[in-house]
Amino acid sequence: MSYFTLGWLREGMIVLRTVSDHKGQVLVKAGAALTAQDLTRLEQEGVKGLEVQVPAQATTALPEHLGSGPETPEQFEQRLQQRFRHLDQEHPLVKELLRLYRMRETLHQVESNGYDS
Amino acid sequence: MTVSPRELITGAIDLPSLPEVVMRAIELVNDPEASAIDIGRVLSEDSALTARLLKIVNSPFYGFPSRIDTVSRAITVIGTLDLLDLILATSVVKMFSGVPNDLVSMDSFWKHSLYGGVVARLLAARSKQPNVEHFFVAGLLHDLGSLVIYRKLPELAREALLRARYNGIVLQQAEQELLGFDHAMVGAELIRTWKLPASLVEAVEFHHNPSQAPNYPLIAAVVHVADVIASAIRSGAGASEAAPPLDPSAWDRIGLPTLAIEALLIEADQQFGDAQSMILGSHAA
Repeated sequence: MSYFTLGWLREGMIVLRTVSDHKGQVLVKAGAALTAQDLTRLEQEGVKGLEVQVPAQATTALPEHLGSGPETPEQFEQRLQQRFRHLDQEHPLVKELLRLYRMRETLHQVESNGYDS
Repeated sequence: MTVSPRELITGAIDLPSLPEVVMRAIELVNDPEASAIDIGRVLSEDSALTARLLKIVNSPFYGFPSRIDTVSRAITVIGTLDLLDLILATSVVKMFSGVPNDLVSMDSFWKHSLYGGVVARLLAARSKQPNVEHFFVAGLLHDLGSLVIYRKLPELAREALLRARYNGIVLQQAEQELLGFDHAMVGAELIRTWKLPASLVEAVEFHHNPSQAPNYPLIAAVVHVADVIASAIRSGAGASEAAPPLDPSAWDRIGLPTLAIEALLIEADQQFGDAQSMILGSHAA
């Protein structure tokens, strides 16, 4: 689960919390896969971002820079921890870099492989 | 290890030196009597350099609305200091692209350096610093000393890289243990011998410990943070490499909100493509 700001959201990501507009009208429902129309609507309503889950096939896709075999979420986490091992992960800038790194890597995989949804 | 950073750059194996035209241009930039036309005349003696400069100032990286056709016009539009920095950027990358080494991919090396330069430039611009190209060049050159070490002490450089990776320590610590100095000190020494501005020397020398920069702590802080960001965020730039530690006071000194980073990185990614074609061209690979 990750919080993705609007520009990073993609079709097929699974919404984790229902989002409503100021009148209570539901914009996207928890559990739904985002559609292109949802993304347009969210933008029109000024929604800044959502908590979403990226479909499993996206996070287990093969990253370009790894030699062979699909990368599991655990391997991804290990790689991330390796890269950030000298950094204080409680520092606000480092926290933000971690968040952005997760998003960028996930999107890189999504854009390389696409969703099957 | 008894050699010093100074001996390393003046030792038996020749390192490239800045072209004579560039050295004369630097002198003129520092000469209050010299005009834009004088500087333009000197630079025009090197047609390849002139072509590279005009390509840069006419690129989307700069985004000037009208075309700039001469160096003296470029000086008028972007200023002598910024132009000097662009000359350095394009000249140093060109010089060092011919330095062979078996230890790292030059393509990855320069891409990391260039991304660091682009991020440094944006950090400086967002914190309203003048002469942002100076920050760009400082970011671009921050790891230059590594290339000298790879070239002159390849076995020790290899051992330092392995020691850092397998002992979980930062590269500069491994270099200190093995050599008695690190790549930041070597890079600063090289830049000092080229008689480049002291701010550039300090930015490179203190890019891992910016709080110790005696005279130019801000540029050292910007390059430090840019290096951390570039090392942490860019995928493909050595997947198993670790980002260097962050000095929190450097981030505080820059004074930007953390939330500014996301938009800054989007812009950095856009500028990186332009910067890659104008600065690296076909030299890095």
